[in-house]
Amino acid sequence: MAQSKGDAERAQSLYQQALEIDQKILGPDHPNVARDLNNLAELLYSRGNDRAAEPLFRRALAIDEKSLGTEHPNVASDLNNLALLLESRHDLSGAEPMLRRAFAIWQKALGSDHPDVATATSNLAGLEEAKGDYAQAESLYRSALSIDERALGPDHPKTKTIRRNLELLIAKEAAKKSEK
Amino acid sequence: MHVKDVQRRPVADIQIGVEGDGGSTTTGDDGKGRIPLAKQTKEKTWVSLQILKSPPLKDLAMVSPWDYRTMIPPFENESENFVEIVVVLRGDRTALESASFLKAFAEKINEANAPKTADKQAQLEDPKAKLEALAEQYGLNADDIDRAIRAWGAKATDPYDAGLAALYERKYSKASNQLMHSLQQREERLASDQKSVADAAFFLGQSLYEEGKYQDSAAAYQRCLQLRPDDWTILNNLALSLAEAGDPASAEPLYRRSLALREKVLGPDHPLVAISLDNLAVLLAARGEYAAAETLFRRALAIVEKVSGPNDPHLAMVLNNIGGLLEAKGNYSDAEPYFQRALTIDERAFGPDHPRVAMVLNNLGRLMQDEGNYAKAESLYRRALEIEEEALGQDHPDVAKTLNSLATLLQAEGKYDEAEPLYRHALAIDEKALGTSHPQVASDLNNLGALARDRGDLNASESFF
Repeated sequence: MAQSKGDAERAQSLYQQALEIDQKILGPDHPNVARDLNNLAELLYSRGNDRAAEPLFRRALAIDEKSLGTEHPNVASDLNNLALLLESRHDLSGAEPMLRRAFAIWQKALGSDHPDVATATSNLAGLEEAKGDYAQAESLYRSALSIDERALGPDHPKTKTIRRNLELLIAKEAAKKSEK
Repeated sequence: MHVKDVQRRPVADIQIGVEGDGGSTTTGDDGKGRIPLAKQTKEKTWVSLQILKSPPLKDLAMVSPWDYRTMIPPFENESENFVEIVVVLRGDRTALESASFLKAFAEKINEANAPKTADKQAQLEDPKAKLEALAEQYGLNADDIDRAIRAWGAKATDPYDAGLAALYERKYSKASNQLMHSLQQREERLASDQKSVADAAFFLGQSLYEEGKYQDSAAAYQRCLQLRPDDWTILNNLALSLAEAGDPASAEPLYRRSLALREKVLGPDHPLVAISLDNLAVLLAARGEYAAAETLFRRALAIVEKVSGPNDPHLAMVLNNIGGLLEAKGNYSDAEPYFQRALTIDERAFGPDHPRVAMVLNNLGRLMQDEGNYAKAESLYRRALEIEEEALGQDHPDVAKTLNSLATLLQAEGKYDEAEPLYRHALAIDEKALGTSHPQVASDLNNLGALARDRGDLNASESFF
């Protein structure tokens, strides 16, 4: 545990250094600054500090929307980050429109067969799962899985993760049925 | 300012002032003095000078500037910027042999004789009376000055001098010819001065770009563009800087203008047109507008396929970019043949050990990594690294880039202990080559941060078991 705390602190200090450089050299509204903020926020979030992470995610989103336009794939990624944070706080109604917007941006920019669209689909599946709509979640996981199986192959680490999530969901569905 | 007489000797102890401003100074032995200016007076504005007090026992009159007007020199490097003022002792007949005096006098008398209104009747003042009045200011005889100006004009080689003398003699056709010639000459000189300013701004822009100071680089190119507004190279480079500075919206119209100029002047099938199309497409692709980008890339490809040979590096560049676009769209299997074709061309054009070849190997490696083919990706990165270290040296930023790619791959495979020294090596190279506050250094720090984060996650999860 002590080791992992040291690593995280090191990561945080490196991200902060990078952020300082980019803000100084590229100005406060550059997409690289948004990248740095996202990295820092993800780290804070993973350490359980979602209060500190949220404003950084929101700033990254604002920068990317301003400098890259509202339809850019990076904006989709920012929305996705923020939505997952809200979801973890059980703010499902806050998360849902963001996940849907991210999905729409990726699908429009990349077409329906792109691994990022699979990611967005899988995240929407997670949301439906959290809402308790297992049938909807299962169909979304299946669609994400079929994209990644085609685009990345059946043995790609990401494909494996989605398959595992689908299996866990199916197990949950079965358990739910047997409860009844 | 620097006060001299018509023999170009410094004039000490003369008090010169700025009209209206109130500032004045008295020159030292070297003829130099600094007029303190009112606070609101800015550099490069025009002011009128006047002699407030001649040195004891001397009666001096100002010869040049002929209209007493001068531009306040830039405040930067003050000690090197002097306004030259020429004065003459009233009644000093040696002035009649001084070209600078005669030139200034011709300027003054011509201006005095110039039409001031559209009413021709009003101009029928006696020119002779004007000459006498002006001659009187210098304590000289009007007839002497008249002869001297005509003699000076007859010998004049500079078209400006010859034109002034002809104007004085009312030989207007000759005067116009000479002055037109002089104007052309001076415009050319101004143009060449502007060129030297533009050149300095151009190379400053380039250097700042290399430093990663994209906003400053764009500002330098903007200055350059003011002086040469239709220069497609400057437009293109400015757009590059703006795009890097995170302002693609401002970059796009500049790329389009550069493209339009190149198409118009060079024709639609010129290699530079292909480069413009390629740059614009890269910008659109970075904005996520993949369909529009692809159209432009394909147009660029059509041009280079038509005008360049099958082994032309330009062809490889466009093929590479199309490969990158298809990769970004997730069409990994479509992207691969483009990278392969680019690789074949570059290997044939540059030889198998050239950095360009290494760049394509890197692209192919990234594609293999996207597809999860880590073993193949690793061997491509290692081959690229070998080429770059040999061709560019151990300390080149391109070596750092490949080290980063390789480390990212190892990190994805969970080989954190192998990845870390590579990330650190890349950071050290970039800090040394680009300075400690370059955006690439920030990117390297992000990589190290991500590694520490992943390692932390691993250690945290291990501690649960």
